[in-house]
Amino acid sequence: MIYKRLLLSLLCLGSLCCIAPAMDLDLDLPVLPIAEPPADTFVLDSPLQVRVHIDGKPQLLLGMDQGRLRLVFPDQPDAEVMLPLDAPGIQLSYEPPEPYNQLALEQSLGNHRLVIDSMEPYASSLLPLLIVDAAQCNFHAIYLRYYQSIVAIADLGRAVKITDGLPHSAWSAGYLEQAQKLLGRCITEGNVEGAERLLAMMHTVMDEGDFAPVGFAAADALRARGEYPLTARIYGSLAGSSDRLLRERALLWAGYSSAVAGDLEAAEKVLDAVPEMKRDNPNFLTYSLARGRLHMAHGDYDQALYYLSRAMVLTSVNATFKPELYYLLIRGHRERGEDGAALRLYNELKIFYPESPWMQKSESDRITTG
Amino acid sequence: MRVFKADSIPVRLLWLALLFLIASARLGAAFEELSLPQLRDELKKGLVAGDLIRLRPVLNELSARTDGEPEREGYVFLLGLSYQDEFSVNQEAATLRKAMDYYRQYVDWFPQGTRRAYVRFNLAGAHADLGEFEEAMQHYDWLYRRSKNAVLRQESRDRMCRLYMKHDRAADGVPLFLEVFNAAVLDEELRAQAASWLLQGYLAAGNVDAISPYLRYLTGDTEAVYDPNFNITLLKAGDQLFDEEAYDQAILLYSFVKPKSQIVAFYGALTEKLRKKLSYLSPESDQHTILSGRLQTAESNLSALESVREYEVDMHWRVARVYLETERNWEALWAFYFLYQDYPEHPQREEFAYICFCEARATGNTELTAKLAKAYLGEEGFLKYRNQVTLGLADAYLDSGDEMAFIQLAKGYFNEPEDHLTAAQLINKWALLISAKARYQSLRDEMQPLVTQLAGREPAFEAARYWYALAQLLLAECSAASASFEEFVGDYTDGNSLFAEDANYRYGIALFGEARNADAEAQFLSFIERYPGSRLRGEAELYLGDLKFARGADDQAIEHYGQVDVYTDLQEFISKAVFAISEVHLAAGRGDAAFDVIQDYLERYGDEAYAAQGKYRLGMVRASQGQAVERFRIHSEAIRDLGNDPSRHAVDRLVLGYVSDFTRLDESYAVSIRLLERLIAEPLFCHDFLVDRGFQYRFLQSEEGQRVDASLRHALVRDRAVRATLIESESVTAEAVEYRLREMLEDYEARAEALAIYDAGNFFADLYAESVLESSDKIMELRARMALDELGQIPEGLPAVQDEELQDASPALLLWQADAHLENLPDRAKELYAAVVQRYPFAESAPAALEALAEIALDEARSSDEGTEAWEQALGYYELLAQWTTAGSLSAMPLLRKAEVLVHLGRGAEAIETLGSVLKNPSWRGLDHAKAHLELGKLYMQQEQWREAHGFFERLIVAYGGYLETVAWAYYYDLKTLEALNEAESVELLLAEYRTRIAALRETEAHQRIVDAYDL
Repeated sequence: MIYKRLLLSLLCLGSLCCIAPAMDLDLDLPVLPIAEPPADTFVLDSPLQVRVHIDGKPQLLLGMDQGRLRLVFPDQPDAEVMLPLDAPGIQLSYEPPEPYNQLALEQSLGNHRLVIDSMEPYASSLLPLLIVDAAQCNFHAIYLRYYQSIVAIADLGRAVKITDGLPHSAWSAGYLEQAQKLLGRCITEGNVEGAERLLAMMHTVMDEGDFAPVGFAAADALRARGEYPLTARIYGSLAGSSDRLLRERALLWAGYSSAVAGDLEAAEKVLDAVPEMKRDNPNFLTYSLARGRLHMAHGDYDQALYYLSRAMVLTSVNATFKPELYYLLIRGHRERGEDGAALRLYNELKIFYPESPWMQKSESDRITTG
Repeated sequence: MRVFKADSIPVRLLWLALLFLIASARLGAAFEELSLPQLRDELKKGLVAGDLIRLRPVLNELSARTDGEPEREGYVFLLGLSYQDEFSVNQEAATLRKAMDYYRQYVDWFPQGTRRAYVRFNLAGAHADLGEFEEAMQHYDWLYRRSKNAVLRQESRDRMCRLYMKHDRAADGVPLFLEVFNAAVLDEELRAQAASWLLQGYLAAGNVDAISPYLRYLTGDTEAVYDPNFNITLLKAGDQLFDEEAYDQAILLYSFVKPKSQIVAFYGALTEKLRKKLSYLSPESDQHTILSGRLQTAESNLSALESVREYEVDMHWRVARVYLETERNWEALWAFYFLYQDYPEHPQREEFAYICFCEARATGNTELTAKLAKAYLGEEGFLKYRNQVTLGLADAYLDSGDEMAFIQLAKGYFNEPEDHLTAAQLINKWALLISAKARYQSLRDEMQPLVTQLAGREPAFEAARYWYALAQLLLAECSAASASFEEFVGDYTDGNSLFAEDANYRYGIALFGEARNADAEAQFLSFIERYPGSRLRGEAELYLGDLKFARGADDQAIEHYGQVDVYTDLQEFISKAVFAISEVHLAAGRGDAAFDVIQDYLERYGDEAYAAQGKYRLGMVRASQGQAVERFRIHSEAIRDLGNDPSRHAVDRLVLGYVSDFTRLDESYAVSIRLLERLIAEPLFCHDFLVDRGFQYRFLQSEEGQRVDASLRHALVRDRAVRATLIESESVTAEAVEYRLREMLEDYEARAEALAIYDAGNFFADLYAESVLESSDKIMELRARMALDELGQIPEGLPAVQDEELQDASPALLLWQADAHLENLPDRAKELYAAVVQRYPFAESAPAALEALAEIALDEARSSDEGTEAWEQALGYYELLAQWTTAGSLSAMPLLRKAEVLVHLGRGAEAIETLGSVLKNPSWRGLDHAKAHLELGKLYMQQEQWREAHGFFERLIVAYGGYLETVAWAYYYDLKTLEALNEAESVELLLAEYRTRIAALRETEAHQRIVDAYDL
């Protein structure tokens, strides 16, 4: 479930400080930046006509002042009203100019451009207003339609900027699902900056248990693309978790990433902060992988194979890091001149994961080393 | 809610649809009497209640009354449906067949009926329920190919796929599976499902090669990969491939097999999830119907799993064996390790543990090997492979350099040997370890107790005895070694000993070392006869050559030397034999033959030949033939060709020999020329020199005279023919003498001029300059520099040789640098001496380095007041040096020094033994024997064994009287001994004898002690 950190981001530092004593402070891991929430005081570019259900009459919504609605009646432009959101019975509704169902149909047919163009005139006004609780307005559902099309086809910079403007309280499951899609696009299309912005927002608005699978999956994909600095920041942020297993898993991956990046001192420091693991530990495979990678970075291929082959035997074909494991084992065997084993693993990698970046890396290693 | 069989699910959908279609119908109560509208009304009411079976009479009536009318089509359909509903309750085939009759009627009567697709769908389902594959497929195929309803088309297609699987006709389904697969581009779950079908289809068709492209679609976490049938198919196909030894393909399939526990967990979670979802859905909704079907499939899979026997361990075992067979050692190791850990009750657990240990060895990871070996040995019930594991553990310790752990293991095993063969192998490993480090004394001391401890426990006893004897031989304790080997070869023959052949050979060496040449010859001949094809034959032939040569049987010697390269490929022995043949020829005055044999060898073996040694000898042969210049030509060329190769240590001998011999010869020529010039210029000197033998002797004994060239000396002193031309007489005029002398002078001037081309200073200065310019010629540079140093011609201001320059230096170069530092940087010198010994323990320079180290240690020990540590260190060096001191060594000094150190350490018995070994070697007769007698006497004095002490002193005085210093001490100590024996008369007699020798002994150190103590 999404943990709403409404305006609590300032407290994030405090909460991190609370977590920090559980970690080794000397590790000094890089972390994702904290996403600041959009302002709760703003003036809309053009007033939005809404119905406030206290009396059901249309009113013009001018903006917000410290979380309170700034409204005027169309016929009384000088009589501005400040309406707190917690006023009893407050219910806002906006009626889009075009038939909403028609837009839904167009979207289902993949006509995202039409959706965006149609909703453009009022979408930017709705965005900051998503600070209003979804239970008190119909803005969220309307804007989600727009956001879905933005995520589907818009320029990544624009899509990320729009996401950045989402009030933290607005990150419902629907928005989160779209943001994850957008994150996927950013990674696939190589927009690392955008990916980092999105991850920072998600890390800020989601609770650690929800963010962990998103973060680890993103890090997997980024690692495969060689984006180690951002990967390290994701792991660094996850390492701040109060959940021991989650924290250790993040530390293991952080150590792994440092080893890959060639920062062996940092890798050792981080991995030494994780106790030796036995097979019943859920992080045992990650532990083996990280330790193996560190030994490989040291050029100790014997010990590298010790750990990596152990992980290999215990990892099923659907594990996210299985292709990576294949790649590393192939490399280890090649370095030791065990060409038979390397070739067999290479053939399996090619059959099981022909499109994996690790397959491509292995292939290019093979060509390079002959 | 009624439960429908999987194939009947759409029936429910259609029934609901029909409810809507006939909503306007009216029906009455008494069917035959009711009007058509009333019947319709009755039907409507019944449909609302949802009980088609009860409505069957109404439907029959309606069907009969509407014969020939379009309306009848709906009633026929509902009649079929009613029987299908009934079948779902009673599961009687007859009921279902009735339903099918109605459906067939429908198809016949209403080929264009609106419900024809649903009817065919139900008809297909009914056939499927009855196991009528062909009929079911016919109807599904019709729907898939012709129906305009996309849902029905897709469902029919999927059902056909499942039918192929259900009826074990997966191979036939491949074309359809491919259609599904190609249509599922955007549906990951369906694509995985289709891939799994294709896999099974190709496997059933025996087309294993076709599966590879589809495996990638099974790496996701989809429902398809948890299908029990799919997993069992993979397992079976994997097993078949495994049995066919197609391991690489087998592992592809095994990789996807899920453990039963995972499948159970998956379907457990899935059924729970589906039930939960269903609880939120209306029973009449399409979604509910679809999820019901999925739930039923999941439950059916779950219950099917109950009858599947546990296959996890077998599968893991197979996978592990695939790793093993395909030499994926690391993965095999872990796979077997986890089998060993995870299945404590498995009957093959011991095999698991043993294989994983073997794989650890194959990876070369000694730490893991040791860990796994200990784990195996720690299991009480594990007996089958204890010996192999024990030996493997021993190897792991040895490979990791953990000698202490190895010794602990071996000694522990010797205390309670479970298997004597294993004990023997441990002994062999241990002995090889010690021998490789040249710690022969340690080898002897470790093996000695085992000879007693393991007596009678063959073959461990045999191994201990062999290594004990070999250690004695390597320590040059030849007498003890020959005795041990004699016993050994007496007790063991080829049939019962691994070492018989080697022992027979070593026995010959021990006899040779003992200088029992005749026995040695006999033993080697016996060895050759007994082991004509032995790998040691070549070396034995070499010994036989030496023995024959030593007793003057030159031809036989050459014959044996000539056999060496027939029986060995080792250059060390081949070259020795060739050089020995050359020596035989040379000794017989056949210089050219001596030269040719080496020349042939160098040409024959090319780069493999010991070229530096060969060329050194070639030069020396020419020198012995009086061709000194040719010698330096050969040697200078050899130095240029081979001088930069650090592995050719004999180049150092070439260099140092060049320097010393050139200097000597050059001086000799200069002195000879001066002598001849003087003989010409000074007729009186010439006359005295040639005629006055006393004058001549005095001149030639002078420093300059000693350096006169040997051939000139011979000509002037011994050669009568020459002398006759040089002494003026009636027939020889002064002019003729001068003419002859000038001829000789010109000859020497010519020789000196020819020699000057190979001037050592110029040659090595040029070589040094060239090698400095050529940065890769570092070793050449050092060798040239060493030569210049020896010549005293090192260029001024040259920086000291750096450590890195000595990285690859030969032993002689290291020794040269060590000597250079001895005075000013003794610690650096010690390091370099130690480097010689450590890096090149068998090099020619090693004894010199050891001697230097020993002398330094002895000096330190003598000047140190602190304990015995310094003495122990000195002893260590002398012990190593003693190993170099064989019976053929020129001096017994190392043994005498060792004895001295042993005395200081209070180890008198060992000192006596050491000195005794000196006396046993006849080649050390003379000063070495004299010193040994003296020290033995002193030792017995210390032990107050006066008679024994007197015996040694007496023998020394009698037999070695010429060694004044030693014999004077013998008098002194013998006097003291006789006093201790209270033999005053003997003292007086000895003093009287001493007085007769005072003139000779007056200058000795001991004389003053005797003067102080006795009245002479």
